[in-house]
Amino acid sequence: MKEQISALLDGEGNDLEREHALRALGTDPALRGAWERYHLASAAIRRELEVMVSPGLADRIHERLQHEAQENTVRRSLSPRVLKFTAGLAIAASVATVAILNLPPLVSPSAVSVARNASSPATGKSTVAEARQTPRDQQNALNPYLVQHGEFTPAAGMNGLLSYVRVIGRDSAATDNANTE
Amino acid sequence: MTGFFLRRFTLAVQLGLAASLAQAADAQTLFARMHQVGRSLDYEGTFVYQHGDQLESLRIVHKTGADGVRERLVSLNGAPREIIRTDSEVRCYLPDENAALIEHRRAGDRNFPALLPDSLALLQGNYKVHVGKEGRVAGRKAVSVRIKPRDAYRYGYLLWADEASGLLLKASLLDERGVVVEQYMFTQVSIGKPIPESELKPQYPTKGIVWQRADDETQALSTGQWTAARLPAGFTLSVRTMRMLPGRKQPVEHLVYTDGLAVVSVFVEKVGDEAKPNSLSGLTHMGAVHAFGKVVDGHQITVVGEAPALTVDMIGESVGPGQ
Repeated sequence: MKEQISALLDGEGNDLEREHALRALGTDPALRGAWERYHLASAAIRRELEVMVSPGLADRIHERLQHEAQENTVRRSLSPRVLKFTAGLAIAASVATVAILNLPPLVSPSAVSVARNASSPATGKSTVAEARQTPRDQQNALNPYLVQHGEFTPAAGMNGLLSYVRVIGRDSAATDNANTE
Repeated sequence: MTGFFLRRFTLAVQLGLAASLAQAADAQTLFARMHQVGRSLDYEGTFVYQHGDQLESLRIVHKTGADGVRERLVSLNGAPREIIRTDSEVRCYLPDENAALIEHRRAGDRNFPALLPDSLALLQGNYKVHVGKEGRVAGRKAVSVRIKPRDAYRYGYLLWADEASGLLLKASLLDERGVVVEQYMFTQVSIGKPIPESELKPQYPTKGIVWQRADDETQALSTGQWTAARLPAGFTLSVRTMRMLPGRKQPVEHLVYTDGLAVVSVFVEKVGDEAKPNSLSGLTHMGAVHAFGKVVDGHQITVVGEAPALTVDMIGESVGPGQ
């Protein structure tokens, strides 16, 4: 079966084999794991790991579809057999879509930025300007403020000492470079 | 008593109690212990601090005694900076800048918006708190607490506390997308062993260094009417004070806004006679800290806080002389 999954990934095999492979993916969690591993390996070889989806995606799609299928059962009282078939098709369709799109849409930068904008509460401005890294001379000028600010920071334990870490534990790259020059 | 709480906490984790009430009680117990450990326990260790693509290594020494809590924090790579904190002052040695800052501390803990058990109820308006899993950090058994923000105006936290003592062993700050913006993690820690006095002395020669000392308590200075007109939901003004900052001739008004966990400081000072280079302008960030600067009515406004750009920007943009 794994050969068929691999063939599916490579876009090989005939219609019957593809259908068989997709159906098997819908029912077998181990195969879905294998499917993800093949994708990971394939992406790694092509140096495309930055667009890799998180592990367990196929399982989550499967669970979600099952959940929806169960809701449908309650609503429509379909026979379990019909349901299983429908759910199987839906899973196959989802997984196939992912296969066709070769995964990026789920994690592409545009998707992330859209999600970010969508999650930003209304501020009067559509989005906040991207904050740039504080220039080094300004970092030094900020030290007295950060020390004073640290007095009021709970920092969730260690009684605020963590906030001072930012004053002394930063920009070692610049200082390291300075040391070697 | 601590043992009782710990057993109760551990048991709760083992049972995987999902009920929010039980979660709250356990989180409260853990917070109380995490807070207490800072007052009553000696520890020393090495931890790493990661922000962006930077990785730093630091050493911390924490000693309690008749004269209160004393701490020393030293950077182990790059510039040999260190901070020594006692109950009365913070000394910050910055050899690479040939400077040392001395800041007087406020008396005791009274005004602190610390993560005290009482504040958990306040927290829950803005965050969801979950006691999580058991794990291992720096070779010690640890339990996790996940603090998830209810909106995009604050960071989330994933904390790992030492199961035996409550000491915070690992902390991750997460942005609104759940991406880590900053992490601290002990790689080695020794808890409850005696710490020699020499460990609390500054390590580097301070000869020739420029001391920037904050003048004594400035409680008598009257505070102004500066205020942030717009605050993200859940944030309130918790402290308004007038301070002398190291290296300043003029007092600085300090407003502290907090949602119970995240803290944003607003500093207001006259742009005056003294040449103060590098005044901050616009929005920048250093790791999880966002900083904002602008000039209004002849006053320099400086805002810093461990909060998303959205929050610091909103507060900073809205600061004005008030009514």
